[in-house]
Formats: sequence, C-alpha cells, structure tokens
Amino acid sequence: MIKYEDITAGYEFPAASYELNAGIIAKYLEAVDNQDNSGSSPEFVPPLSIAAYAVKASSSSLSLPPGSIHAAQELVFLKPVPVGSVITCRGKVAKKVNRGKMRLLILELNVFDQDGEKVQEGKATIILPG
Amino acid sequence: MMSKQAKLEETLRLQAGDTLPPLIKHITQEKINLYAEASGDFNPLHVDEVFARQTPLGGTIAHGMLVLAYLSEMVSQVFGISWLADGKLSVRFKAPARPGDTITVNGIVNSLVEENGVSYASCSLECHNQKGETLITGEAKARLPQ
Repeated sequence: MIKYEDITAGYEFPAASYELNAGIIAKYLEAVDNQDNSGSSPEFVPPLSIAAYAVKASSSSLSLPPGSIHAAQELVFLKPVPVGSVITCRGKVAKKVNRGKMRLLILELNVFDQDGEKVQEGKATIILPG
Repeated sequence: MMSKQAKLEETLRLQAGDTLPPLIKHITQEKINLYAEASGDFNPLHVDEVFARQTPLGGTIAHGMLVLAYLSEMVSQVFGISWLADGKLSVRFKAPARPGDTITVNGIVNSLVEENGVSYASCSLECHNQKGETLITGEAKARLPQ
C-alpha cells in the first residue's frame, strides 16, 4: 500500500487481472440494478464493470486520507468484451498536484484483454482534503 | 442526393436536440453494499453508516462509479453494442447520491458528426436527485450503429 505523500507522477500501480465470468457479471448487474443488461447483449460485459475493476486495481494499492473525493472520470471504450474474458488493468499516476490547500491526483487507467489488446482507457481525478 | 447530415440522422433517426429516454433509479444502502461487494470498494464512506455520520458528508454515499453505471446504461439503451465498441464518456461528480435518493439520468443529443467516415452522436448528460440537485454532468460520444 503506497501513501499519497510517497507517490510521484509516473508511478505505476501493480497490474491486476480479473476473470469476468458469468457469476461476477451477474453480481455486478444486480448491484447496478440492471439485471437484464439492457441496451447491451448478454454475451458482453457492461463497460462500467471493466472501469470499476480498473479503478479498483489502482485504488486497492493506494492509501488516501478519509474525505478524498472522486471528482471526475473519463472513459474510452474500444471494443466489446465477451463474458468470460480475462482483463488486465494497469494504472499509473499521470499527475500529482500539491499546491497549498490544493491536492489532487490524476490516475491513468488502461485495460487489456487476454490477447493484449487494449479494450478500455480512462482517467480518474481524485481530490484530497487540504 | 442525401446530405451527410441527413444520412446520419437516417441511421438512427436522431437529430440534434433530441432527448434520450430518461432512466430512473432508486438508491438504497442495500444496493450500495451490493456494489461494494461487486466492485471490491469497501470505503467506509459507502458502507459504514456510523463512520460516515461522523464525516462532513453526514452519512453514507453511493460510489460515484455506481451512479456512473446508470449513465452508461442509458446511453447503451440507445446506441447498443456501438457504445461498447467505440464510446467516450467524460463526467464530473458534483454531489453525492445518498440512500433514499431517486436518481434521474437525462441526455440530449448536441450534434451528429462524421470523423474519418464514422458517424458519431455527441450528447450532454446530467444526473440529478429528487430535490433537483445535480449529481453528475458530462458528455458522451457514441458511434452510431452501422
């Protein structure tokens, strides 16, 4: 677990892989109140489930003070991901701002499928209490 | 001969100014707990009511990514698999969603554009609670189904 104080721009979080099997996706869809995966297709995972794992991969090894806020999120979906795929999430610190009371982190997230093809990318902005 | 703009509109019968069908969801602590289990995010601000009451937030809040999933669901209902294959989402979280809230997600088509032979709809998105407070604002860019 790395603390905000110890982190620098360019720091890469340990990569994390997840198998998005039918059970995991069913649990996710129940959590987001979308059991029938409406608008998509039962063969593909919802893109926000991938994003959730991408955020988890970075945040689970980052210790932030209580009161930290997820302020903004950018996501780019590059290809549908079939249920049963194994994804690998890579995150790094794109920017760290520590200016007076202003403290924020911008995390860059990239997700690849089992063939090494990028399926999703994004940026998360986190504001820390001053 | 049909103009590019007319072809785009014909593809999905969308026009700038059209609204996307709104999506309404109810937030409960049970759903927040389910999302914590599904995502692995057990931040006490989301799941520990005693802890969260002692913070400036005054109580638990839903994960931002949970509410963001509602925005994606709404866009997905219009654009289908095209959204999964070639979609962009950019949002700002303005205020938290709390247990007991009724969340409405709205979207409007700003423009239809063509880039490198691919047609896209650019949409503004907004999410607000039953008090009319804005929780999320953002933009989505989705490829029109072929």
